[in-house]
Amino acid sequence: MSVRGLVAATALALLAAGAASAQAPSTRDEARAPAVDLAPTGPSVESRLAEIRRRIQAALVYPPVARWQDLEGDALVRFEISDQGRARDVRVVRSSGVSLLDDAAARAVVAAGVLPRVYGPLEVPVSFELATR
Amino acid sequence: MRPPGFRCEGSAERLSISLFSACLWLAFGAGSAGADQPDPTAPAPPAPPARSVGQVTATATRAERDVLDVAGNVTVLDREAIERSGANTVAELLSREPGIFVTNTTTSPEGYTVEARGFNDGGGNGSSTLVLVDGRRINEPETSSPDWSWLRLDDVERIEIVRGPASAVWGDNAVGGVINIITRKGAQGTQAEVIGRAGSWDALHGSGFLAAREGPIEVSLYGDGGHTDDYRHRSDFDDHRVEGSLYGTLGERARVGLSAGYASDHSDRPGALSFEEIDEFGRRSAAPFAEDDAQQRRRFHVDGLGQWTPLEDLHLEILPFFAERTDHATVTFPASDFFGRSQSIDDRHTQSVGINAQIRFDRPVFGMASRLTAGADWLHEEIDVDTDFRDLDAGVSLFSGSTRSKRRVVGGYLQEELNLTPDLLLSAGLRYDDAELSGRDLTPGSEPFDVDNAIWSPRVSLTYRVIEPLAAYASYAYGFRLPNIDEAFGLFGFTPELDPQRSHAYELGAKLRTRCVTANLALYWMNVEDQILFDHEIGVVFPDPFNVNVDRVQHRGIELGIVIDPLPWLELHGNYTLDDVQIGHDRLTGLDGKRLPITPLHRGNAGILFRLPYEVELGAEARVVGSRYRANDLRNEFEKLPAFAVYDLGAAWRPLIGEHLELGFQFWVRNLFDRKYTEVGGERTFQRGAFGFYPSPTRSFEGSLAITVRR
Repeated sequence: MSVRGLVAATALALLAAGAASAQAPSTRDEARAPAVDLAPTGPSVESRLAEIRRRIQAALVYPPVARWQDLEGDALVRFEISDQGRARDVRVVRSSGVSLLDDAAARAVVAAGVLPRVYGPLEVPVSFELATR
Repeated sequence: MRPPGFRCEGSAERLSISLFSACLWLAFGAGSAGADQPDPTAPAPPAPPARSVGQVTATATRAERDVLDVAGNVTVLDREAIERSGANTVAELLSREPGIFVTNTTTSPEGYTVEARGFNDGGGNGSSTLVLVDGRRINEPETSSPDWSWLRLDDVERIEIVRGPASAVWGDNAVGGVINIITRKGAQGTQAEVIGRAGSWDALHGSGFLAAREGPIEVSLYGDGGHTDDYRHRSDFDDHRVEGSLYGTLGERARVGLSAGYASDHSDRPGALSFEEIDEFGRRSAAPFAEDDAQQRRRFHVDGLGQWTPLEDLHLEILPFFAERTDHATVTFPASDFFGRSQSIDDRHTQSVGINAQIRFDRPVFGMASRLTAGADWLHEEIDVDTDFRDLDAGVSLFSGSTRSKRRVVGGYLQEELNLTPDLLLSAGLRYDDAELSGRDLTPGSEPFDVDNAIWSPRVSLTYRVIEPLAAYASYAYGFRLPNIDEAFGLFGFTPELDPQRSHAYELGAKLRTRCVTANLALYWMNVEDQILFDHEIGVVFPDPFNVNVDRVQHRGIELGIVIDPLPWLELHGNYTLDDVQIGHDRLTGLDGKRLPITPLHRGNAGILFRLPYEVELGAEARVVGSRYRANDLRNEFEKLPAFAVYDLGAAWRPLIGEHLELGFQFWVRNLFDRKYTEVGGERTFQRGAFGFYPSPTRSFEGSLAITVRR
């Protein structure tokens, strides 16, 4: 191997090591807090998640027809937040068993408006409960 | 309608799989021509775990009231209770309920009489218990009795039993109580079920139920059919039915649907036996004089449904319906005091069309929770009856006629439920019915008749939730039953001047529901004015029997029901009913103080259920019925029908195989100790002092297998 070759190989090895060391913290963080924005500035992830939950809760409506039909259930909705802060790829990953309630759960996520940005997939468990008068 | 940006889980999964395949092809296939194709079955890399934002919950006030807050002795039997009961028919299930008295003259589903609060006098008169199927009344206009072979238990999702008068909401027939039957639909999700039954006397029956829900659409289909030779000779029963429904949700606020069904049955009727005939031919024999007795019936119905919730607390519902029925029946009577062996051949055609509409509005009044319900019903029925009544020995026609009758009922009601305090509920309602019954006999010279009745039905009650699991109530309710076509215009009638039967009922009750104990106690006191009774001795015209209005009949009773779950593997249940029914005063018949026949003073049920490991259950049921006067013995002159007790023993195994498949094996021994008893018997219609009895089945066996797939 020539000197140029040795220098080039050393440079490549250093680049690779640097790249590996640059990725290492990310991998560890993902393991600790997967799929969450790691931006060091602004509100914490927890407070942003709490704000998302609050907005979905505010947008959640018990479907009137379901209430009169005495329908209850629990659904799990998965979604992501787009660059514009809107919920995207909204889907019900665990059905309540009642399409009316599944749709209402998904609709609440979409209707929650502009949400704090958190990267990666998010899930929200949605319960529909009827209280006895 | 789905929200924007929302996609179904199934389609998303397919999309991600195809994208993943494309990526694999780009990464490995496109860059290495001639290389092996990627394995399409290779598992996709796990999706990154999602982070939960936390639980959100939508709560609303339940539209239906808690049973504890309903002022009345109310029972709700859901699908699970129905499956666990081991009962074969709706009437058999109801026979285990307090306050309900069930008898059968044929031992097949066709011959049941089901009445509440002392109105079962042997089936000689119309029903005073209203039966609804999905909100549509099935009490027939000519007899005002429901046809219990119309529907099978396999097709029932829920049964609600309301004891006591409820004409303030439902009008005609709701005197003894209301039985509201909800059939199975597609709302519960995708489900397929097949049930097969086999039993003694060559009984074979099968049913299938299929329900699916895709997005806002719910579809269900049900069909069954079967045959049984049944206990008595010449008592074969064949039946078939098919039901279907289609419902759709329009957005979050509206729901529409349509259901339709067709049923047909054929039953041979073995008739009543005298003591001498039982001794000579045996209790299973058919009456020797009635070898042609049979009945053939066909039913068709279409029901619509529209529900709209324009505001959060305002709900509108409309139920249009159409039903058609065709009957052909042959009934033979033994030689009597008046003529030889006689036979009646009846052809009947009935059409019913109507609309039930209801508005419910929940809005606080002066800070108190309130619900206002308003409704209107319209019903139009046309009944054509062709009868030929012949003296078979003399070979002459005694009576032949055709009648064309119409019944029109228009009703409106208002009901308010007001929480005076969170624990004290005041409920009051008022209904107005205008009923017109008109008809004409096609026989030349016959006078048409047209009778109009206007009736107000009030109701008021107070319910107090003493503590969370205990409620007490007091109520007054009015009930009425209009004379039916047979009573007013039938073979034994000719009495269009009959007045409606009216009842005033006062009731006190208490209900307890804890984790281990459910108990109901009801004490009722009901005065029935103008109770319609069939008195075959009071007649003033040929052929003598006569329907009469008895001035006042007192119905008083106690109903007690209890279910105890002391241990996770043990359930005990039992009930006791006292129905003290006697004629208070009657100017025409002078039967003051006489007890009405067939309904006993005392009766009860008891049962035990062991829940064993591996989804095995063992159960035993007992039914005890006290002595009672024979049918038609309004004068209490003859020896009573003896008391009887029958015991059933059953076992069930319901293994869950995998996540979606459930099997259900059941095996029952009915009348375990082979008791020989008679539910119904009485004085023959045209033959004073002669009696006929309908022997009830001896020991029998029944097994069933249910295969259910749920998703």
